[in-house]
Amino acid sequence: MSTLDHKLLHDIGASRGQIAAIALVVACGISVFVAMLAAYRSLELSQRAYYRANRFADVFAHLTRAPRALEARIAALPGVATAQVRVISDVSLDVPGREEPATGRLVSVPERARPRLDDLSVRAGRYLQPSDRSQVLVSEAFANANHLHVGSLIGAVINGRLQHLRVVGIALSPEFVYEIHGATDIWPDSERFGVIWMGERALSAAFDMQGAFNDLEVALAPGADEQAVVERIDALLARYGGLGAYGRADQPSHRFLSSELAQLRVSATIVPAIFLGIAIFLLHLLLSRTVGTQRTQIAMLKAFGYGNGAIGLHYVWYGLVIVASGALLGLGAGLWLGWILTRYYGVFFHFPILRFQAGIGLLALTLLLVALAGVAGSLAGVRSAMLLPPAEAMRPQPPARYRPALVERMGLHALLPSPIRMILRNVERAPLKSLLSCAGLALGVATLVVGRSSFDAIDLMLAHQFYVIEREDATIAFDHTVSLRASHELAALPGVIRVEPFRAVPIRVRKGHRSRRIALLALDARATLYRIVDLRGRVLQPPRQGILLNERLAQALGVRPGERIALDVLESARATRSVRVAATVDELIGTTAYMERGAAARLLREGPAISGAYVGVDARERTALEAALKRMPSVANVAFRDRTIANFRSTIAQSLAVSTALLILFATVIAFGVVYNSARIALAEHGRELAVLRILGFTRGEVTLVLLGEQALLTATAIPAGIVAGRAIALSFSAAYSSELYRIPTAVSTTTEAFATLVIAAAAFVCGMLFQRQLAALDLVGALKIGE
Amino acid sequence: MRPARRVLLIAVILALILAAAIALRRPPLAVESARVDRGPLLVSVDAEGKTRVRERYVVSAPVSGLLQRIALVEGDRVARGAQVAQIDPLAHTSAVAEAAAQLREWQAQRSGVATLRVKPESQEQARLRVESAIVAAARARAQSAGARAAFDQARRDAARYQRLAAEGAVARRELEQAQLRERTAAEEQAAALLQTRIADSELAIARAASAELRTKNRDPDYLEHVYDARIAAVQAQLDNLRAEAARTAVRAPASGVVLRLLTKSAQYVSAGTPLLELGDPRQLEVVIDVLSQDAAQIAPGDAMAIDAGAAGATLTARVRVVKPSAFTKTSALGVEEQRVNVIGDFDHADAGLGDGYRVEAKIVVWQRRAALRVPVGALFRCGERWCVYAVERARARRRTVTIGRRNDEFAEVRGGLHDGERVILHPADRVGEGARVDAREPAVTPEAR
Amino acid sequence: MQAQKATPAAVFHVHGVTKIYRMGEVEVRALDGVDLDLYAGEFAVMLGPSGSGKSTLLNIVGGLDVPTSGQVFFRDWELTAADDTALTRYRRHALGFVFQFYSLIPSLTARENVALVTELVRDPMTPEEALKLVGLGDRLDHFPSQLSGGEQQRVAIARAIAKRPAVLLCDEPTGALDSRTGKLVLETLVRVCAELATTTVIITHNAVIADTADRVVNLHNGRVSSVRINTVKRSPAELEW
Repeated sequence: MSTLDHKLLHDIGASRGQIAAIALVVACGISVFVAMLAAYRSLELSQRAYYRANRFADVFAHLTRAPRALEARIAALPGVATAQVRVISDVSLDVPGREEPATGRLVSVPERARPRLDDLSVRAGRYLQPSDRSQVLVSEAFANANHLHVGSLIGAVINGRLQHLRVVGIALSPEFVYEIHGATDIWPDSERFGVIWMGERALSAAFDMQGAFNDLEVALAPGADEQAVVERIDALLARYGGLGAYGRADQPSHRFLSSELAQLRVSATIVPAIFLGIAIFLLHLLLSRTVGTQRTQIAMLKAFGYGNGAIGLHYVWYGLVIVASGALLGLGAGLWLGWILTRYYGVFFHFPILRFQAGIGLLALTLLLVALAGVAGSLAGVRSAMLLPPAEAMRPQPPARYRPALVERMGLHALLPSPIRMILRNVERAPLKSLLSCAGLALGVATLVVGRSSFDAIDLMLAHQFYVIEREDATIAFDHTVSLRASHELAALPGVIRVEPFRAVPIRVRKGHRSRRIALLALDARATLYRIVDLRGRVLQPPRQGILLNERLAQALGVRPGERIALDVLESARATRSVRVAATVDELIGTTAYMERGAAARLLREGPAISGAYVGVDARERTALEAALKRMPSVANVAFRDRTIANFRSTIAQSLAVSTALLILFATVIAFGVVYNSARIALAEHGRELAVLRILGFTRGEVTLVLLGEQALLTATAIPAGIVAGRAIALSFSAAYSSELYRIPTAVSTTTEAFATLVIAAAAFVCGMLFQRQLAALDLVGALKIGE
Repeated sequence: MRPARRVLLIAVILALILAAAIALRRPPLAVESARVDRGPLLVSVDAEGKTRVRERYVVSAPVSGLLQRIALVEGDRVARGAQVAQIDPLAHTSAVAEAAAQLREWQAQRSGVATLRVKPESQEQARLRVESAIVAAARARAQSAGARAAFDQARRDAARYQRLAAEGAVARRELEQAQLRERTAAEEQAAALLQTRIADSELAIARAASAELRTKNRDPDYLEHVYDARIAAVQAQLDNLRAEAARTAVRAPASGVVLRLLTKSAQYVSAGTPLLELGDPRQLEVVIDVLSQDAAQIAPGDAMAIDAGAAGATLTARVRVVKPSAFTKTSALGVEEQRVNVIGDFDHADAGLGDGYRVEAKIVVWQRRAALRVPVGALFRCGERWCVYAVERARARRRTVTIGRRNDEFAEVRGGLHDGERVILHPADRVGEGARVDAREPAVTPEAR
Repeated sequence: MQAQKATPAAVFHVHGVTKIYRMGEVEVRALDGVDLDLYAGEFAVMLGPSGSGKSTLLNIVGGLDVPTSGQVFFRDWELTAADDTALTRYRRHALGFVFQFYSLIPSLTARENVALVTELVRDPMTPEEALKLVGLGDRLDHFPSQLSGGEQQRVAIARAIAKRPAVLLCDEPTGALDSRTGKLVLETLVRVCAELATTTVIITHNAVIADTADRVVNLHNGRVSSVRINTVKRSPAELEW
C-alpha cells in the first residue's frame, strides 16, 4: 500500500465519529431506496407471473341476465381472444362462530374443468368435482380470518333460503388480489367479506339462472384495442341490462394494486433523495474541513512531488470510502427491510407466491447512486486540495475576517453576552454553511412532520368519517330494494332506537362525453345518523330538487351548479334521466352523489323503497339484535360502526408503530449526522480559541456553551423552519395523492409538531452531551504551542 | 456568567417550556351538543297502512248474460237506485216466455187427467161381483166340507166293511160298494175342493179387479199431484226468470262515487262477477296493520297522525277499533309476523285523500305536553344504566340518568339531568370524562337550492 | 537595594518540580527538579534555549499542566494539589496570560475580547481603560483581522491585565513580531506592570530582553542554571535586536 493510502486510513481513523455519522445517513437513504424498490419489483414480478399463470382477464362486464348462447358471439367479436361467462351474486353468510352476518360473493366456476379465465390457485383441499352440489371453495383470507378449513360448513342465504355449503378447498384468484367488497371500499375486511366459488350448475339453479349468465370476462387478443372491445361488448350487452364493460384499470383489485405500486415508486425516489442530499452536504463539510486542516500536509506533499491528480484522487477515495461503507450497511438493511415490507404487503394483497427478489440491476443502480453521491460530496474539497498553492500552506493563517452580526447592527448588542455574540458572528461568517446545516436539520424535522402527518391525515379522515359524518351504531343493507315499511320492521327489532332508511343506487353521471360511475345515496331530509359534511365542517341537507355532487367530480365533468347532467341508472331497471346539479360539496370521499329520498324516488319513478337503513342501537340489546338480523333473509350486510373503527385502527396501528419507529430512526440519524459533523468541524475550526478561553479562566461549561451554542441556535432555527417546510410538503403530498375519489386532508397536529421538535431537539441534545465529553479532553497546552 | 444573566436564561427556558406545554395541549374537542328542555314528547307506534272507504259496495252482475259496456267511469257519482249497468235482457225474456209456455202445457195436461178417472157403475159392478164371489166361495166351502164329511164317512165305512169283510161279516159286494162309495166320496170331495178353489180364485179375481179399479182411480190423483207440482215448479221458475229479467238493469245499492270499475268492456259475465265498486270517498277510514305486540298498547280513542307522503300537511285521526285477532303476514324483509289491523277515523271529513292510498301512521300511545326531554343521540349505555355527557364549564362530565318513555328523537328524563343543561350528542368513544370540549349546537346549512 | 531587609512575599514558590513526558517509548525530562521563588511586583524574565523547559515551567506555574513530582505554591495555596475547578478559578482570578501567537478571539472586537475577561471577575478595569492603557483607545471596535500584529498583541496584553491579576505570565510575547513592534509591546508590558504592580514573568529565548527585567532566571536542560538580579535595567526603547 502506498503512503497516501496509509494516510487515508489514518485520516479515516481520526475522524471516525463524523464518518460514522455520514455513513449512517447514507445507509438510511440507501436502505429506503433498496427496500422500496425491491418490494416494488417483488410485487410487480409476482403480479405479472400470477396474472399470466392464472389467465387474468382484460375486460370485465356485469349485466342483468343474458342467455349462455351469447358467449360464443362474444368470443367471436374482433379483438377478443377468450370469453368466459359466469353467474355472480352477493349473499349474506352465516359463518359459524360469528354473530353478525358476513357477505360472500358467490362466483360460479365450471365443475368439469378449470375456468378459462381468472383461474383459481387451490391452496388447500381440492377443486370442484362434477358431482358437487353444495360444495364450494372459499377465498384464503376469508377462511383464515374466520377459522374455516376444508370440511367446514358455511350457511348462505340464497334466494331467501338458508343453504349450507361445505368447503372442499381454499383458493386464491387474480381477480381478488385485493379482496374488497365494492369499488367504493378502501380496506379489505377479511372477516366480513369473502369470495366463494361454487359449481355453475348448482349456482345457476339456486338463483334461477339456468342457461343464463350475469357476468362476463374477456381476454384480449394481442394488439387489440381495449376501448373498441369495450364498446362492442357494451353494444351487445345493452339489451341484457349490461352496466358497462371496463378494463383492468377499473377492476377494483387491480386498481388498488397498481396505485400502491405507483406510490412505492414515487416514495422510492423522494425519500432516498433527501437522505442522499443531506449526506452529500455533510460529506462536503467534512472533506472541506479535512482539506483545510491538512493544508500544511498537502503543501508538503506537493512540495515533495506528488501531482495534483494523485492528491485529488486521494481525497475522492476518502469520500468514496465513506459513502461505500454507508452503502453496504444500507444495502443490507434495505434488503432486510424490503423483505419485511414485501411480507407486509402480502397481508393485504393475496398472491399465491410472493417472492422477495432484488435483482442485480437494483444492486448496480444502488452502487452507481452511491458513487455519484460520493463524488458530488467530495467535489469541492477535492477541488480546493488540487488548487492549493504549495507555498501558502506554510504560512500561519491570519485571523479570519468577522463583522458585527446582523442582530448587533440593529443595536441590540448591549443585551447579548459575549458568547452569544461569538455564536452569532460565527454563524454569519459562513452563511452558506450555516444555512445548509440548518436546512439539513430542517429536513430532518420535515421528515418527521410529513411522516407523521400522514397518520394525522388518516386520523382526521377517520374522525371526520366516523364521528362527524357517520353517527349510526349500525348500517344495515338489504339484498334487494324493499318497501319503506321495512323501516318499521327494523324499528321493532330489539334494541333499535332510531331508524333512518336510505336508498342507494349505482349510477353513471354524464356531461357531454365525460362520465363517471358513482353511487347515489338518497337520505331523509332530517337525517342525523348519517350526514353530508364538507371538509370545513358544514353540514348540508340532501337536496329536494336536483342532485348534490362532489366538487372535484363536478370539476372533472366540467359541470357547475344549476346545469343539468344525464344520469344512467345502473340497476336492473335501467333508465336514463336528466337531473339538475343543485350544488357541489367538498368532501373527503368523492364517490357518492346525494339526493333527498323522496326526490330520488320520483327520479327513479318508483314508490318509497329503501336499500338499507342507518340505525341507533341500545348497546345492552346488541346481541339480541344481531341474532335477529341474522335470521332475516333479506338482510345482506350488517356493519357496526365501532367494529369498523376498531378494525381500521388496528390495521393502521401496526403500520403506525413501524412507521413511527422508522421515522424516528431516520430523523435521529439525520439530526445526529448534521449536529455531530457541524460540532466537530466547529471544534476543529475554533478549537484554539476555545482552548484560549479555558486558559483565560472560562469553565468547561461556558466553553461548551460557546461551541454547542452555535449548534443549538441552528437547531432552534431549523425546527420551526422544518415544521413550516414539513407542512408545505405534506400539503403538496396530499394534493398529489388526492384524486377525484379521495381527498387526503392536510393535517399536521400539534402533537406531530411537538413530536418532531422533541425528537430533533433530543437528538441534538444527546449529540451535544456526547460532545461535551470530547471537549473535556481539550488539549489546553497543545493549543498554545501549535499555531495554525 | 453573571447572576442576572443566569436568571434571565432560566426565565427564557421556563417560558419556552410553558409555551410548549400550552401548544401540546390537545385543543378542545369540537362536539355537537343540545340542551335538555321541556317540551312535547310523543311515543307512537309507527306503521304503514292505507285508506279505505268506510262503506264499500261491490256491485256484481246479478245474472249471467252479456254485459253491455258500462258507461260510467271511476269518479262518477251515482244516486241510490240508479242504473249503473245493463245486461242484455233478451236471453232472459225469451226464457220467461219459454217458461210460461211450459206452464200452460202442464196445466192442460192436468186438466186432462180427470178423464182418466174410473166410472162409478163399474165400481159398483165390481163390488157386486166380489160379493157374489164371496157367496160362491162360501157355498163351495160348505160343499167341500160336506163332501169331506161324506168321504170321511165313506172311508170309515169302507174301513169298517173292510174289517167286516175280513171277518167275513159282510158281503164282498157291500165292501165293494162301500169302497165304491169311498171312492165316489173321495172324488166328490176332490171336486168340491176344486170347486172351492175355483170359487176362491174367482173371489180373488173379483177382488183384484175391484182393487185395480180403485187403483186406477187413485192414479189420476197422483198424476194430478204430479202435474200440480210441475206446474208449481214452472211457476216458480217463471217468477224467477221474470225477476231476473227485471234485474238485467243493474242498479246502485246506495249513493256514492264509482271507486273502481272492475269490468268495463262488453262481455259475457256470469252471475256474481263483480262489476264495479261504489263508495263515498269522503267517508274514509284508515287501516293500519301493526305488530301484535304493538297492538297491545293501542286503545280505541288514541290519536293518530296520518301522513300521506305528499307535500300536504299531516292529518289527524282517531283509533276506532283494534281488531281482536291477528293474522300472519310475511314482512318486507321475509320474516313471518303476527299483525293486527287498527282502524281509525279521520277527524275531518274531507281528508283530501282517495281510496286505497298508502299512508304512514303514527299512533300515539303516550304523550306529555311538557316532559323533560333529552335527545336520544346523547344517551349511551354504561353497564345496565343509561349515561350522558353533560357539559360543565367546557368539560365533559359523565352522568347517570334515568329515563322513562322514549321515541326515536327524545327520551323522557326522570332523573340525572336538569332543564337547560347541555349534553353532548353522539359522543362515541372520542369523549372522555373531564375532557375539554367545544360544544356547539348542530349547525345545518339551509337546503342547497 | 541592600536596604530592603524585609523580603517581598514570594508569590510563587516552586519546590522540586519535575516533569517527565512519555512520547511513545521515549522519555523526555522537560523539568528536572526545579526550585524557584517569584516575588510580588517583580518583572522577571526566564531565559533559555528551546527545549530548556521554560514553557513547561510556565504552564505548570499557570495551572495548565501538572508536574510529575514536586510542588508549587501560589501564596500559601498549593497549586499542584488542586483540582480542575480550583485551577480554573485560579486562572480566572489570579492570572493573566499573553501568548506568542496572540490568541485573540477573531470573532470579537478588541473591546469585546477584553470584555470577555472582565465579565468574569469582580472589580475589573473597564475594557476601555485597559485598551487605553495599552495605547489602543481609538481601536476599540476593530476586529483582530483589522489590527496589525503588534496591535493584536497589545490587545492581548490589555485582555490579560484588565482583570487586575496578581500575576502576568507571558510566553514569548515578542516572538512573532519584528523588533520595532516588539519593542513597543515590551514597552507596554513594562509600563503597565509598573503601574499596576503586577508580578510579571516573561519567557523568551531573546537574551536582549532580559536587560529590562528585575531578575533573570536561566534555565538549561530542565534545571535552573542561574538566577541573576539585574542591577541596571534598561528601557525597552534602548534595546536592539
